[in-house]
Amino acid sequence: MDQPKRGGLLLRTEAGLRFLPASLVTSVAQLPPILRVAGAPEGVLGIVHENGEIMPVVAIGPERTVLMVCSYLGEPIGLVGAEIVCAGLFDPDPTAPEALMYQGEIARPLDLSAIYTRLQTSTWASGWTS
Amino acid sequence: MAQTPSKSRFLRLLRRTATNAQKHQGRGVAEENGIWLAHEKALSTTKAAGEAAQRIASTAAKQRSIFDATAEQARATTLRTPELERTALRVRDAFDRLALIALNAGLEGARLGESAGRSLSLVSDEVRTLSERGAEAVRELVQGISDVARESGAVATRIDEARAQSGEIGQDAALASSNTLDTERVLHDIGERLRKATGSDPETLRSIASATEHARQLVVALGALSGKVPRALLVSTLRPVLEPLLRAVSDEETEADE
Repeated sequence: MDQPKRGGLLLRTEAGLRFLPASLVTSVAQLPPILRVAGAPEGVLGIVHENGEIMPVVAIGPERTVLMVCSYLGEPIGLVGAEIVCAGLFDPDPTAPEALMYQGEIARPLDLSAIYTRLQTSTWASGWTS
Repeated sequence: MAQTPSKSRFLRLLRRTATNAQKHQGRGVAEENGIWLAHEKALSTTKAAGEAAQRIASTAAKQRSIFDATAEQARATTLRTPELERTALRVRDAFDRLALIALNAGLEGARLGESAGRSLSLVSDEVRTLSERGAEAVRELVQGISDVARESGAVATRIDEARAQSGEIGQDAALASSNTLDTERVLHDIGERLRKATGSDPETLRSIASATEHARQLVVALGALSGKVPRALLVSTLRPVLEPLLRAVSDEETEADE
């Protein structure tokens, strides 16, 4: 039986083609000015104000053009650093149910939970409190 | 005061005058005439060269003003390019925003699912493709504008070089014109000295040459009439016309004999 198509965003990162499900991506926007935060964990570029919300911006690569606004467990997270390939509905990879196929290439899911966990467990401004 | 010559002396004098005039033509007068002709030729050529040099200087001045206007236009084109680039970048920014709108529409279509979001996804894909093409065209346009700016700057520089060369041509032409004026003055001076040295001038020499030619033709005509027309008739016909000349020749000979 054919598996249903899955909607979301395909990204080109340094690690290859990645997929963000539509349920996690709120919107895509031009990168607004990033306010740097002293003592932020590694990979966090700072915070931005986008569409009425303030959110941390996490770098997943060197690109600095587009901000992908995600929502994980009700909290907004901004991602930058990937080239957006396209948005839409994609066929799942028959060999790996969590992955997708796009023009013969496998797109693995971007691990947003790991990014969120890192943000939650990292100590902000640890150098100041010691 | 010279006496009126007899009939036989009249004809003798007439022949001798015409023969002498013919001989005279072949010697000093011809040489003097040649010198004066060469002088006149040199004078007219120098004058023509001077006028040509003035025309060249005038044309070079006009050319410089055209070069100035053209270089100014080329510089104006170069100065307009930043404005054009800014406009093109605004268009590219609009295309980039349009692409983002298309991406968000695609996401919305994906959220709606395969059947409900299909048409939205299709429109999104099409709009994104078109906006990417537009952005690419604008990138080429910006590159083209930049190339045009660089080339028009180079054109302005080359026009400036051509203007400088035209300036040199104008200066050289002015110098040549001044030199031809000097040459004309020298030729006039030579003419005066020649006039003093020979006691003649081109107009007189031309008159002498003309008179000599007429005298030669008279000798030829007399030779043709010889024996055909009665002598008395010939003399009585020619005497009123030629008597002043014969009197002058007779006076000259009398002075020479004395």
